[in-house]
Amino acid sequence: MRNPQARWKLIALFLSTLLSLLLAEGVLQVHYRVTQGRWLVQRSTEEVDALEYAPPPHVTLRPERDPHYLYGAYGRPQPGDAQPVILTLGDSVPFGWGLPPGESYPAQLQRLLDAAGYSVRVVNGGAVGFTIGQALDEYRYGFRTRFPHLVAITVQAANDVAMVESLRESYRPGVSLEDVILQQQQYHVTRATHLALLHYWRHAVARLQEIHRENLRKRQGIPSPTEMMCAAVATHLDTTLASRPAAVPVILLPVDPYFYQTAQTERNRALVARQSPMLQQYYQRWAPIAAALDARLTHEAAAHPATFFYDSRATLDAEERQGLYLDHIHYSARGSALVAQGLLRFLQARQLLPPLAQPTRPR
Amino acid sequence: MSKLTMMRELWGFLRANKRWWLLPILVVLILLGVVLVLTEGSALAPFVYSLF
Repeated sequence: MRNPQARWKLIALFLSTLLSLLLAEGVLQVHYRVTQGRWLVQRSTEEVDALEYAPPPHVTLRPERDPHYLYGAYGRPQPGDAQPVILTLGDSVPFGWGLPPGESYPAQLQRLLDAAGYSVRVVNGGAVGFTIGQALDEYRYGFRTRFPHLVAITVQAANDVAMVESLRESYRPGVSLEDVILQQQQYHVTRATHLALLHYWRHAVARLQEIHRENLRKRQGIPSPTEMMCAAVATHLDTTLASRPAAVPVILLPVDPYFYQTAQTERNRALVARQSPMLQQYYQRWAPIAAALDARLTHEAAAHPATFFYDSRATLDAEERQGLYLDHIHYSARGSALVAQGLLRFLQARQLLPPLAQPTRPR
Repeated sequence: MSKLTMMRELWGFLRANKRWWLLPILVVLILLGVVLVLTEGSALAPFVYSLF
């Protein structure tokens, strides 16, 4: 460039661009720290999940399926003898994720039943990552024939809520954990996203796409993701409940994150407020979806014969929730114990258990 | 003074004084505002507990 004035102008333009980008990066890094409670460069919980999520050594993987799906603490349930069976379906909550073997609520329920003298086997059919639909399909296509002597089926799964909360306007019934993981990898589990400019830019673009999809959905009169999810759960339940043997009761358990309390609203609010801003945002997104699903489960239980809604939230409300959870969804050993005790009382009160084996008198 | 008038005045200032090096700063500031508004209430950390 021959004109030195023009060259200096160009250099000034370049420097001012660089400076403004650096300034923007700094502002966004600080904004992230203030709003999320941690620096962007720190490994986030979701990254820890993605990187360190691996089956514990005692768990047997199901070879025919994606390795994310694991069966609860016992490996794949095998059919036994003619002993009556309580089948606990669902996700990593009945599975007992994070707990040592024998501390999940199905395992603790087994011990309580044994101690009370019931001859009932509890089969843990919880599989990490399962939605309610997947759990019910598992019953229809697998467990139903393998365990013909069913006393009761329990169903508990939170992943439907997680799907809606994570995928939002991209949610469609039938999505699975893989769809969430794909999106997670796309936006989070990359080192490049530690650059605030890129991180915020991606989210701004995603938000614009979401707004576009939301407008399109509303214009076409398509139900919201939460409504779609609840309708899909209801359809799955209708199909499964119609296909079960009439005598087998089904007990639905609520989606019950640790911050969700039925009776202790104020305490609940304070509990969340003490946590990070990220958790508060998370709570705000989760709470209405979880409430909608729980309401639908309650409704479905009332609408079908021999179908119950066991509200474990009331049992857990009796104690401070901090000690009852390992994280924000999985019960601790104490939480599992409370759920197991409550379930036993529930089964006894509704006379859903077989009569106690009479002790034989010595002649 | 409306936002549009302010923008027009800023543009006029840049043109009149030939301070083009200020342009990237203005553009980045505007983009910064747009991005912050868009990500407000967006899922900045949406997948915290997706593996249940």
